[in-house]
Amino acid sequence: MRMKLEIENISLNLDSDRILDNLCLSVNEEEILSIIGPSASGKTSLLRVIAGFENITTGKIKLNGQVVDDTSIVIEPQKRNVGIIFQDLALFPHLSCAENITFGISRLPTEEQIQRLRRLEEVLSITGISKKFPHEISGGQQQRVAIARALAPKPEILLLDEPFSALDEELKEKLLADVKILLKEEKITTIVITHNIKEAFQLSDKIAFLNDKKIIQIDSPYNIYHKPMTREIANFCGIGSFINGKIVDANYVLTDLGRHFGETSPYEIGTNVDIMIRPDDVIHDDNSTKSAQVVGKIFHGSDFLYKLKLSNGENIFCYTPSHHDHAVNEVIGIKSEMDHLILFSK
Amino acid sequence: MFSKILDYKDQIFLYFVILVVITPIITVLSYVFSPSTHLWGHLADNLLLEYLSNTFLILMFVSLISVVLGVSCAWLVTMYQFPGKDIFKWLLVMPIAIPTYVSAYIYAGLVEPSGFLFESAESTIGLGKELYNLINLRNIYGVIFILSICLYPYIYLITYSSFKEQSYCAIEVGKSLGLNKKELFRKISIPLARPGIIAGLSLVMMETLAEFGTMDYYGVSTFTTGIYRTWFAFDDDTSALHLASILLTFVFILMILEKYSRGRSKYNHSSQKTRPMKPINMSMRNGIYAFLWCLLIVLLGFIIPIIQLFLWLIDTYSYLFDSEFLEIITNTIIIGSFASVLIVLISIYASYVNRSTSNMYTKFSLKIFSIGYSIPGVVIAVGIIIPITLIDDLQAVIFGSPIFYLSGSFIALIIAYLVRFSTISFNATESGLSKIKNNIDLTAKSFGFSNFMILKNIHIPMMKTTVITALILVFVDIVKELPATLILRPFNFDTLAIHIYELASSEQLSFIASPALMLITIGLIPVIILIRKTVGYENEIRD
Repeated sequence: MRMKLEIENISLNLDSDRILDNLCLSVNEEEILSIIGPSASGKTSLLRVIAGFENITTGKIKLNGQVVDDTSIVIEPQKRNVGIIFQDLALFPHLSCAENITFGISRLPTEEQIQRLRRLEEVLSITGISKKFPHEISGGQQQRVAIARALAPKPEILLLDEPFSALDEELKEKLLADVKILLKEEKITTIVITHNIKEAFQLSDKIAFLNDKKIIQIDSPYNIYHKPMTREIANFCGIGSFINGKIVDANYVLTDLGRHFGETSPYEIGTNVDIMIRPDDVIHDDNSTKSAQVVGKIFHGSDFLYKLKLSNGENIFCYTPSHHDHAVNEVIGIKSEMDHLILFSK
Repeated sequence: MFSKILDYKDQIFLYFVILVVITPIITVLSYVFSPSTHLWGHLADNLLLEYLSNTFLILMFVSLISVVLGVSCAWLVTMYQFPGKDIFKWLLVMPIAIPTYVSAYIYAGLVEPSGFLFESAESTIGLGKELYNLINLRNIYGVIFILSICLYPYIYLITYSSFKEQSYCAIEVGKSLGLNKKELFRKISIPLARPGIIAGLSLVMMETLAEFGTMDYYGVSTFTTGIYRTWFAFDDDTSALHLASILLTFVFILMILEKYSRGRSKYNHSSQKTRPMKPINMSMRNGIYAFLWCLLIVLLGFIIPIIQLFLWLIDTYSYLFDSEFLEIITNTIIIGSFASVLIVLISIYASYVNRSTSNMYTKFSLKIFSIGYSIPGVVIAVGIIIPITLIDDLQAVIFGSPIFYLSGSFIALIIAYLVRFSTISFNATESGLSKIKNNIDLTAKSFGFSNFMILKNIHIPMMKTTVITALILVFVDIVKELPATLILRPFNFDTLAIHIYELASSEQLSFIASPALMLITIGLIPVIILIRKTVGYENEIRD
């Protein structure tokens, strides 16, 4: 597959602060990449560099095989054909929704403009609001208009800077599904910045974790979740806890919870490691020989999240279906069920 | 987008404008320590104390009365349901449309033989003369009355908005905590509205310190009339400037106090949507009291003056078609439009520089535009004459005789308007431009739009309303401005304000009807804008 975007060893200084440091990243054609990471890690700056709103201090950026910024050649943002959607959407308040959407294609014949407008409105289910102004429609609709506006000129690459963060979960779920279908149909390479890991899992083909001014890991969502390279990434992907383990075999780790099967390299036999236990790795089973004491619980509706204390005092979390209602201090049977071991050295 | 268009060369003009604006202020301040003339001894011995005590008494009582009037009306109208409330809501703003000096002339005329109060007293009970002696406004009480009744709407308007905004979030919480009506007012509404009340009050105080026409006509000596008389009657510019520098110092102290009192108390509302609260129904008796209170204020501030003007108009309407009067209107429109267009253009330019620059010095020097409005017109005028005369003298030295006399030219007058009224238009263009977020420019850029196209397709359409509003506000204020125009206008150049002043000075009060009604009509335009923005705002929310 062809590379759409290649970023080679770029650094960015702003007001003598180093924002990005020797960062590399490449994105394949038609791929949806999410960039996650803690706040102030440089996510938005990376996006601005790709769009051309900031110029890099060192390194090289290629878009479609063509250099757009290598500090000597710098292509202006106007000429990069990059679509961008900001967190505040930046809809033009003085233009109707239809005018907003066709803003970037106003040079095309009217006929084509209307065709494009109709198609985008249809896929994004925003028919019937063309004549309204941005302040007259709901937040979710504004989001959809912003997406339609950015996609209308068929950009080389679409950049989204946390555009879904203001939406409530239910709306977001549906919007993300619609957007993913649209992006795939239109074959548009996309980079999404988000701090919401669920959003990234749902939307993307690949996820890049950015921290401390560089990319720490870039991988499929599945691997980011199951094979995180650092403790930060493991923590970022959701709730879990680290407990002590000892490598007993090339394929086994022993913990207070039992023996766990999985790949243990590169750790040698006999090494003590930290193993990450996620709530979905632990299953409540009254017939199990292992047990733990309930020390806390949170009701989620469809399930409970229990905080459990193992016999050696370590804490783990566990999801159970919500009809398993146990009191605090009660001792319940558990067993572990893991396909992947997430191990970190002590 | 302008970051690349406006480099340091483009800022040079801005610094030139800032220099022009700051020169009169510096000039006046430089006279703080130079009271060495012969006349100053006399002034200091006999008059200074009078100026000081009159100015302070007026300031104090006008502040007090306008706070009482403004806050009480705002509270009644926002919290309660009583007869006429929906009309009073905006009628209470109206007195702002009448220039204070016009109200002063009208009230003086009311109890004189041409006034309707005198006439009705004379024709019914034959006691016109006794009424005239009884209600004598040509003293400090008269000044206080006129200024309070004309200026309270500043406080009313701002307090109204803050009462309205806080209704949902705070009042209901207070109720749930068991506060009664009085406690709600004292413990929640007033503290929350305090920044607004103080902002309104500081406007009232600035206007009071700047007022010239009312004191001049009622024969009360204050700083403004003192400066004018010292300069033009006693011909002692040094002493006049020294007085001006004292007044300016007071104004600055007031500005600092206002800023200080605001401090960190920029109260933000925690709930994003303010749901208008349902007004409380009043008992019949209290409803009538509330009605009478509002009616009294509206009668005094707006209805009585307007009735008197229309009665005078009946006698003097033919003057409307006088060629002299037409010339005055033309003069007013020409100077008003020219100066306001210029001032608004400069503000737009300054706002764009402010948006594009990260230079701290530039940003700081732009603050000069925010103080002009507080400086009395008299002070600005005398501060302009000195440097302008200096330039004329310099021309004489270099070229033998001045090539272009700046003194008595429109340039001097326009500079005065620029110093005083750029505040209004700069604030307007700043807030207009701040609505165009940088991301909007960037988005347009990502579609391949050039800077010029962004300006044409986004900025101009989005700024249109702001610019028109700024133009109207500046135009109206220029047209109403009396003392600066009076001092700096070219010889024989009369505007509506000057004309009213001269008619009143020659005791032809009934003739002010046509120019005054015209001025009030013009003054109503920004009032309507203001009402739509504040009092009319809640209707928009409901829609």
